[in-house]
Formats: sequence, structure tokens, C-alpha cells
Amino acid sequence: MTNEEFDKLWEQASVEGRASRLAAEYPAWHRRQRRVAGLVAAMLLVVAVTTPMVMKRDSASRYEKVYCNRIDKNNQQWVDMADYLLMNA
Amino acid sequence: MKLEIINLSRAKRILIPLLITLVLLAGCSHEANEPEESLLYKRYACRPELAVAQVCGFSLNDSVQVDVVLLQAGDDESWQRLKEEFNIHDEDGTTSWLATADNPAQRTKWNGEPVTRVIASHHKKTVGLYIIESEAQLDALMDYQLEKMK
Repeated sequence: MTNEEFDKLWEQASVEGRASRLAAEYPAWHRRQRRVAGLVAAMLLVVAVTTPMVMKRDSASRYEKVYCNRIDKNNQQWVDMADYLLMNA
Repeated sequence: MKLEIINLSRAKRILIPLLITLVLLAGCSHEANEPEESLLYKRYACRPELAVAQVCGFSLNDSVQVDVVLLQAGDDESWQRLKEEFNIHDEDGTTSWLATADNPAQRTKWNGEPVTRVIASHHKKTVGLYIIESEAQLDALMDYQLEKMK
């Protein structure tokens, strides 16, 4: 074997070694990718499902929304007033 | 393995836009269901002497809600003016009547058409306009009052 042939083989072996290392690491990388994609999908699914539920009227709440022309009154005061009037009618 | 990658990226390409669409649709449907200011509220809200509110979806029971417009006079003078507008002649206590949908001062009887149940409290200087669009709402309102009286 000449020096040139040996160098060629050595170079080839190094390349193959790197390639086999990459090949060995690939499944782990692939799993990680899959896990990240799964996590993103799960998060989006949770947001998609919970958003309408959160935005929907709270069952404990007595009203949906209050419009008011004054800023010094809070919503609950008006709801209580609507209740008060009914109770005293 | 190559096939798996292709499948995964295809799935991602379909799944993620699908989920994003779902989120956007949920947001849009919420916006579309947002209650609006009623004409009655708009009619009174511009008057500076009155504190005016519209309670949208005021619950009478698990399945029936009504919108309520409340007009509150800030002082005796504006309360007196409000009483004149609504033809209220009593001097104390609470006065109530059924009114036509577009004119809460005009007394009427229930005939299946939308009406307004008006309740005026001298003590609170407040008039409540309960917007009734169905018989179910009128019944629920009566039941609610009876329940509260017990």
C-alpha cells in the first residue's frame, strides 16, 4: 500500500465515521422534532377548544355585558339595580 | 425514515393551519355574538343629566335572559323631568307598567308583540326598562319576581 492509498482510505474512514455518527444521532433528533411538533399542535388544540369556552358567558355571571354612559359606575351596581327594581315592583 | 419525515411535515402542514383556523373562527364567532347597544339605550345615553346603562343578557333563570336599560337621575330636578316624561304621578314607592317597545311612556297590554316592562323607583330615582320580546321572557320575568318575593 502506498502512502497515497493509505491517505485515501483514512479520509474515507473519517467521512464514514462522521456519517455513521450522524446516522446514530438522527433518530433522537427526529424524536425531538416530532415531540416539538406534537407540543405545538397540542397547544393550538387546547387554545382552539378553550377560547370559546372562556369567552362564553360564565355560568355564574348574571349578565353578558353592560354598556354605560358613566365611568364612575361599575357593572355590578347596574345588575344589582335591575334586580332591586324587580324585587320592589 | 424518509417517508416518516415526509408524512410528519405533511401532517404539520395540514394540522397547524387547521388549528390556527379553528382559533380564528372561535374569536370571530365570539365577536359576531357580541350584544349591541339598543335603540332605547342610545336614545337616553346622550343625556348628561342621566346615568344610563344597558345590562345585556340579564339572567332571569337558566335559559331566559332579557336586556335591561336603566335610567338614573342625578338629582331631584332631573328625576322630576324623567317622571314627567314617563307620566309618573305617584310621589313615592315603585311604579310599574307594560309599555310599547318603542315608547316606554305609552302604557299597553300584552298582545304578543314585543313590549317594555317599565319599573320606576322614586327611592332610587331610577327607571328600569326591561325589553321583552317573547312570552317566555314575560313569564320568566313574572316568575322571577314571584320567586324573589317569597
